[in-house]
Amino acid sequence: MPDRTQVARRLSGTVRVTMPASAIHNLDTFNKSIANLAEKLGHPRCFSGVDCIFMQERDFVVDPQQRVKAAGAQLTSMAAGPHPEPWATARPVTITLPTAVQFDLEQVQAVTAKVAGLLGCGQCHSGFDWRFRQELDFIVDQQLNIHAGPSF
Amino acid sequence: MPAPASSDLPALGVGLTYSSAIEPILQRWPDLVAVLEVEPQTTWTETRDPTQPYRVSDDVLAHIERLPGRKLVHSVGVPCGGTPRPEPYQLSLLAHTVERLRSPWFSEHLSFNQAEGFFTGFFLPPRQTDEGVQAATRAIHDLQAALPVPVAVETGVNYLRPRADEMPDGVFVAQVAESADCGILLDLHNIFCNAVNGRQAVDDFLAPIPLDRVWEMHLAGGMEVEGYWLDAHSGAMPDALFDIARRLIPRLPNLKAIIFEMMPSFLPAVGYDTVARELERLHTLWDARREARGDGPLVRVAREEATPPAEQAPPDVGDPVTPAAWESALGALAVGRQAEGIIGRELAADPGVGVIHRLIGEFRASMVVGVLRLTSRYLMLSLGPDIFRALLQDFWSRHPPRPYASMEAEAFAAYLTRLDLQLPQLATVLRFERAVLATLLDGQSRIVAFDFDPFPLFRALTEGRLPDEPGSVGNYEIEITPDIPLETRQVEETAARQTFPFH
Repeated sequence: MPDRTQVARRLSGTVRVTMPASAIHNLDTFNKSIANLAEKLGHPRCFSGVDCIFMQERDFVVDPQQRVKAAGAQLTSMAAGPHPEPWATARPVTITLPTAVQFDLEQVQAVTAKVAGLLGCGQCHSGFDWRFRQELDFIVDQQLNIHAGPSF
Repeated sequence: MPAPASSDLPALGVGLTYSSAIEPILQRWPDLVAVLEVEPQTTWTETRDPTQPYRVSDDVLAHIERLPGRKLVHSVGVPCGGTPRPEPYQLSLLAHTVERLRSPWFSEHLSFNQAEGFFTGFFLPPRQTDEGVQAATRAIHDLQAALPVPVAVETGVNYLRPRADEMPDGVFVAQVAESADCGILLDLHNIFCNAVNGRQAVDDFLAPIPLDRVWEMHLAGGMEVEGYWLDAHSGAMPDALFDIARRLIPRLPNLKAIIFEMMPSFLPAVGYDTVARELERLHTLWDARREARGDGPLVRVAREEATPPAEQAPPDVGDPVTPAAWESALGALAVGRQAEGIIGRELAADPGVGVIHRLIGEFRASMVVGVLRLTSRYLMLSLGPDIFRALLQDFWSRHPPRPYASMEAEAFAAYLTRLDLQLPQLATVLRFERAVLATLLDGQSRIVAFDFDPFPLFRALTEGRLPDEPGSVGNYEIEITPDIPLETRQVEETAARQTFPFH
């Protein structure tokens, strides 16, 4: 049985995943989307592309619970095909990963406001910006379970 | 615009500084928040067009408009405590935001944040002399001329030691307000910080203040770091501050709003319930105001004459330290540069300058990790947090702060690219994140190509770890799209069956 690298080379098609920038910037959403896409498409730990269903552009969407499903109602049932998918070909694959908010103008505006807050001018205060320490704590916590304190 | 009679301004009530993080509070406790204070520059994005460097999205304004309560525009980008004057494009955007949000007045900080062409990354205290009053008055007049509503100035925090050659804080604020004929946004937590840190007792500060000019009050919590009480907006207000507010508010005849300030990054630790309790405390203060004055006409309260404390000399005539020289020296030291002359040496010896410098570092680091999230994690995990911090410090020593998080992140990304660290996949992660940032800013779709499967790497970084193994070789692309309403096309059954020949 060929390993994944060999399969990828044999297929030689380009795997394209389409995602909104705000969904990538929000690491929780990004992580959940990758994980759910991987599970949906047949590779539980990482999305390698070689195991995926080859479909047409914008056939996958993420629902409000960030579950990956086929975009059209008819495809929902058809997507549950045999595994591994026997119709895999070498042509390019494009999988779109819009977030659910993209179907709702008010939610799009809310996301835009949130992103602007992240990229824009700092808020009014003259104290200790905690975000760097929070990130350090997170990384250290993942590695050693040690937290940094609030000092310079 | 000339200041109207304060009594013409509408009474708005209790409110909260807006960020998207506080929206759950608005939903859970809608009766607690009557007004949202919007910091317009936090909702602008850079355009990378030098002729019009910033833009405000209609989507953002539409979202804020839809939120409950009145809106107040509180600027954080054109402070009016020094010699720098606002740029026309800033004034134009501010006027647009004020009109769109129907803000009854506008406020800005009595501080400065630019010196000799560079941004300081922090609101710094102004030169408190006669010349400083004149410089602030000019800057406030710029705002008054450009905006369709009256202007108030916010009293600032000052971590420096008091100086013999400057006016006391309260006298300076009073003289500026009278000279510019503007309102006062009394940030009582800032005044509390200054008192705790040894500048001027709260009552001494308040004595010369024209209390009828106080239209708005800010309250907040802080934290102690290295012996300084910081204006960190990090939680509940100290009881001592609440007592000061309760004592003062009945003496403010034209107070129209009390705003609680809360930094969103502290919300997860503090919790929404704490903020709700603080808002309830603010409501008791607001009620005390009404009880004290009843519903009758507003009365101008006579104030005490401004009297500088005996131990602090009035400013010299022909002060050699002009506001511009002060801004140059303090600005340079704040961002880690050398400062020339006697004032430079004096300020360098002030431990408060070191505190400001370190706080600026935390701001800058937070902007980088907040925007270049995957790159920062990759560096921290690959090199260790200490080396990552050393990289940041080297970057800071070479480049002054940028006003917007996106600008600071892009400058750090360019620095990393030039540094050419020999880390596998760093260039890939950085290229991807710069593309994400560019799309967030300009709304244009981009495609980033990879010659390996990038998802194991990205997934690992989102989880705070390095991947167990490199991604497999292959051709991969990530198309980064803007957030726009997406129309999902319906798929015809015939076409679908051709795509799935086994069904």
